Amino acid sequence: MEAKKKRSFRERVIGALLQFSILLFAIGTVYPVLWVFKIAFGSQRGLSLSLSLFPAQPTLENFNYILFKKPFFIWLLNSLIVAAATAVIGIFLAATAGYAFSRFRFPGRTAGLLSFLITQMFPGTLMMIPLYLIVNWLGLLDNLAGLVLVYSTSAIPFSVWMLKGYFDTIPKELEESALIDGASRTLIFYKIILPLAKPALAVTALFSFMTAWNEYILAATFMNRELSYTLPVALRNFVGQFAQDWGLFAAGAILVSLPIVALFFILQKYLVSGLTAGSVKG
Amino acid sequence: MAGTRKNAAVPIALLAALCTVLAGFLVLDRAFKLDRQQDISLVKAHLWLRPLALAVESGAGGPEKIAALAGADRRADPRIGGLQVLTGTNFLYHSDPRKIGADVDPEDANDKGLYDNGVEIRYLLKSVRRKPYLLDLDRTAGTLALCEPALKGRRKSMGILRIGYGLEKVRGAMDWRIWALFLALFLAFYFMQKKLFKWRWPLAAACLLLALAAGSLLLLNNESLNLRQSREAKLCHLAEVGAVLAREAPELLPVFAADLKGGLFSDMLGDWKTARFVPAGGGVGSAVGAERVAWGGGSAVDLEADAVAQAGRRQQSVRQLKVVLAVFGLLAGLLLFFIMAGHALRSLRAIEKYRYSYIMVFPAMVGMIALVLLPFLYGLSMAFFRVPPSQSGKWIFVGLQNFIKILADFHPLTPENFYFILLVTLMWTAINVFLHVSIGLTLAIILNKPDFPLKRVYRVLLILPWAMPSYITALIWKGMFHKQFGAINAFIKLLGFEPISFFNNFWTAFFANVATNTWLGFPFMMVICLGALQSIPADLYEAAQIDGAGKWQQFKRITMPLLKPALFPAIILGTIWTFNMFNVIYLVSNGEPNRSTEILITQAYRFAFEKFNWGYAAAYSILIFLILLSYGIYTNRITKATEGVFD
Amino acid sequence: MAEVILENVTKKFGDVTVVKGINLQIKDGEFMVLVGPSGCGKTTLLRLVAGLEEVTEGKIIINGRVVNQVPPKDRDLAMVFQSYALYPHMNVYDNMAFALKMRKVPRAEIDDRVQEAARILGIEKLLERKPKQLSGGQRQRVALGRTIVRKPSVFLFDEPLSNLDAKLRGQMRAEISKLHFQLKTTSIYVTHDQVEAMTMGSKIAIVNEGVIQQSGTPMDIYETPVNKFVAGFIGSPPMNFFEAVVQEENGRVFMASEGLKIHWQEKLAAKAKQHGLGEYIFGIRPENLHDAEFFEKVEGCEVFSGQVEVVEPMGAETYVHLTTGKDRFVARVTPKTGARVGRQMQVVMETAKVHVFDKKTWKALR
Repeated sequence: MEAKKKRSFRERVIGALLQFSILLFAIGTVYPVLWVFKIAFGSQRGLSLSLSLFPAQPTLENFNYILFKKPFFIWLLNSLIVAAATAVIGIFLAATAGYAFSRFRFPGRTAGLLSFLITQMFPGTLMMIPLYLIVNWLGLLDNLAGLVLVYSTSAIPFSVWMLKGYFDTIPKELEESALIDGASRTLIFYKIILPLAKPALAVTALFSFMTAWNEYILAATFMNRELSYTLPVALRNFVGQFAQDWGLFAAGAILVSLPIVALFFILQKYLVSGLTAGSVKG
Repeated sequence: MAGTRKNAAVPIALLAALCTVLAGFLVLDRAFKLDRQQDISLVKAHLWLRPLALAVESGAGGPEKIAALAGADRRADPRIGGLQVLTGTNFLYHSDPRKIGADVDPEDANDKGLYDNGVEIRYLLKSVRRKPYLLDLDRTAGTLALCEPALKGRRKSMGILRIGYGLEKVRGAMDWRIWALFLALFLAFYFMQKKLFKWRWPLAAACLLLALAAGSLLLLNNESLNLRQSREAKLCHLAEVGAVLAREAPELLPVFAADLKGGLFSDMLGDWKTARFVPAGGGVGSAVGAERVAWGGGSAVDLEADAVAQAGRRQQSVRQLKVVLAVFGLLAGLLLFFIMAGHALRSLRAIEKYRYSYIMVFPAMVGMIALVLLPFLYGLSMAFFRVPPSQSGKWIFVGLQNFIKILADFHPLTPENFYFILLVTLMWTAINVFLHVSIGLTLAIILNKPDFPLKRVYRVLLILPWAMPSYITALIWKGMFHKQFGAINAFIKLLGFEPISFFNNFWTAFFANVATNTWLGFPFMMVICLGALQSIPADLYEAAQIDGAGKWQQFKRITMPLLKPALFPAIILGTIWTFNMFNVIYLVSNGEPNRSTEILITQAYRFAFEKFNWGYAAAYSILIFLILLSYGIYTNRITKATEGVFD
Repeated sequence: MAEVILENVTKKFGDVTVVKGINLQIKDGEFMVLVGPSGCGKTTLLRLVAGLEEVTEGKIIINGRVVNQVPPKDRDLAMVFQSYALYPHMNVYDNMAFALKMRKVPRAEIDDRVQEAARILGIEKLLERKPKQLSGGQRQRVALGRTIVRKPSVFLFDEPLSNLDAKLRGQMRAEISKLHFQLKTTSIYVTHDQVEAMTMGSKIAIVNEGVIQQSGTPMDIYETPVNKFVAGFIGSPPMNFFEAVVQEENGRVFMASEGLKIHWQEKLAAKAKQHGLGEYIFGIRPENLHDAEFFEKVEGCEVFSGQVEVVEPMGAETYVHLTTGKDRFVARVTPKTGARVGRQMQVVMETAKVHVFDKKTWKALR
């Protein structure tokens, strides 16, 4: 009786410690984000060595400048168009390919899958110049379509692998049953497979969207007119030297991150199932 | 699977070796052809220049006569690009009429070489002989410039003549025979390797035969390989020049014959490739002497007839051989055709049979090939060239020079050295991946406890770093480490220490990078681990408890082994991502202090976009790729991460 | 309504031949059960008929038409899968209506047919539910319903009952039989459970190693198995086998093994002589072994004794496991038996019911 009590006390202490450390860790994780808010709502002169999360001289000047003195909403629209188109095209390409790789045993299948894997190892620096030349050759510089093209293909390998993994977990009998029921292959794909793969599709779309939303090196290379900037390029460009005006950067960072973080949290419930269903089998 | 791979390795290696030899042969072949054409162009240029030089030397007619002669020459041969006659420092004739009579301008890029040579000839008279010399040779532009001194008596300079002459076009070295050879060899090895069907040995044999035929045809037809080697080759060569002249510019034949008699050409074929004419060495010289004796009496026409007869005899034997080979080739081709027709039908049927699969994969594949593979190959090829920063500039082939420069510089303790950066990169990757996995796994295990309070809230909060754009994260953390207002330094100050300049010291800068990337990367591992943990059936733990396993035992014996299948691919992927994590390094420490915290990918970027040394950057990138590829292959073999994926 | 004929059907997966030249005729309205151990090729055979796999050699004829190149949807058949293959994202109604929608059947007719099928199967109240919300038996009914709305000319069943518990299985067995009696649609039913085969099939085909061992009505097969495999596969508990020598002593014929020596009556003796003396495999079903205490010995019955190892009272009868020498037997005796574990027991064998098999070929000798 005595021992049992002692043990449960010890367990309680451990539990409390655990909770405390997780709480600390979570604070540590969230702190930088809150810190950005402080910088964003403060003025440059008010910056000081302080851990406090409240700005010394609160102001909306930074947001005011970005939102209304710059074509922020055009950039936002550019980014939205590019990211959404990337997600849609990327998903379409990856879903069809992933389905074929998952379901059919055709000559060249293994080679195709492996090559998708290997492309993940291509260093980005090697690709930038040729990509620039290709996009230039297509006449798509300063054009959102050029970015969409490059982003959606660069997102393919990861998406294909993820979707293929998920498709593998969908029982084959469903398709066979539909086949006997008189559905065509295409119809099976759209009416049976895609609805069932919703978590994986959501996650894939999210990742493609994030890739497009967050990328700035290629965008900075391809986009030269101020009005065709995407948000990251704009943020990088108009703040110029970030070191100069941290308040502007912080405000910009919040405005750029807000939509993507929101989207991420809306879709995060699919994250675990979509990401790991394919790789974990029992 | 392993068995077939082993079998395949031998023919593939053979094929690779063959391709290398063939490629080398092609390069050589092209070089020989270029040499040959260049020789012909040289002789022709010289022959156009000779009468002019003679006219200048004799002093007959004055500038008008020279201009008339030069004009006639230029009309007669469109390859003549520019003609200049320089006497003293004054242009007696210039293809640009405005410059006739003007002084040579050393500042003018076109005339500078001529000016320099004029000076040289005037002051270094003893080295001057009645010999033309090559001033400039630009193979890519397809032009050469030839100079010829005009001498008074034997040694005194009168002036100097320069002709710009277009090189004759080299017929494509990539003619169909080479393609046939390649194709046939490839097919032969393809058939040997693939366990296609019962016909594979005859097929391979037929292909080899075809390759043999194509190869022999190639060798027989290739003067550059066999003609050039011999003395006879040189004669034929000169004969060919004679023949060309007789056909195209008969008025030059007498000059040609005279020079031939003078022994001017006898040694020029071999040695005229250097930028400055250098008399042939002793051994060659004596041979040349013998040649001169043998040729002394012959006129150009005799020579021509002689050479034509020789070439004719030669061609006859070649023709006979060709017939034999053609028959062989035809037979092999027929055999191949019949078998291939069946095979093609099979392939077509396979495509037809798997039509649906191919259609579904097609769009993605096209995108990948056009926008991933092609750029990659393009970048790959850049590594073997010196690539000028401007788009219009010419690539200069440098072979493995870029790689050698990178790898041979073995000073592993200096920043910006490849090995130093590699070391930093490896350390960076190892530390980061370790931290990602251990933090992610720990959090996942804690948050997977069924009775942990607020675990849903924590789960959402802790993936926040993943949701943030990585470049923003990096910049935020750069701010966090700022000396004047960064939160980290505020914390340090709170503890009673002086604020630190994080980016003035390698270790603190490296720490800043690692801290940023750890914050950035642990949520991914956490989510992967959570997913894997949730898929482990609870009754396994119950069974283990009944079997008497403690918490640690349960973790070691159940959790870890069952996490592996999900964790290994994630670790491999995470390693690759971290290895190429450009944003953090570039935006947080930016290589400070003194480029020491650079990793390979940021260094490659700097070479490309700050130093515009694109070939070098490409070579760097390829080394990165090779490191990652070997890592991927190795770990995949060890962990079998992709095992079962291809079933 | 249709007739299905398999002519010399062979299926290879790479180098492995799974189905080896099968010939089978399934007459209109027949309920054919393909039964065999797992991995014997019976499911592959069914998938060949469905068109989910391509035939390597031979012909499949449905209703007089060679369907080798006909895609599954045009073969006019419906299939029930082992896992039911209900579409998880559709409710019961949509699951059942899916095939009809594919065939562009008018909406009103779809509704009629789904309602009718639901009524037949007693699932009218489940139509709005998703498969996740159904019990095993309900899912099974939906799977059945999905096939019957189609009114196909052939039904295919791939081990449809193997995921159900024993009680439900018995119930569904009866239900499917009833359904077949109502609809009289030609059906092919694959199972590894010989009870299902015996109870449901109007005909049975026993498959092993890609070959049909025997086909016929259940009772035919039960009574006259053509080889040892069939004899051992059909019947529960299975037939007892023992190796013994047929020998002649003083003009009397005996079947003798280590612990057993049984005299053969004249009829049998004559048969034995016809095949020659020597070693054979003998088989006797448990119900042809009796407790000597409670069995009136008639002609052709011989008595031997064995040691009782296990006694399994089933209620209506009792299974007694016993050994004699190296041979083991199960006897199906009256529950009144006094058999006790470890004791000796007198057993009556109906020698007329003994099956004789060739030792090498396993073929039944008659």
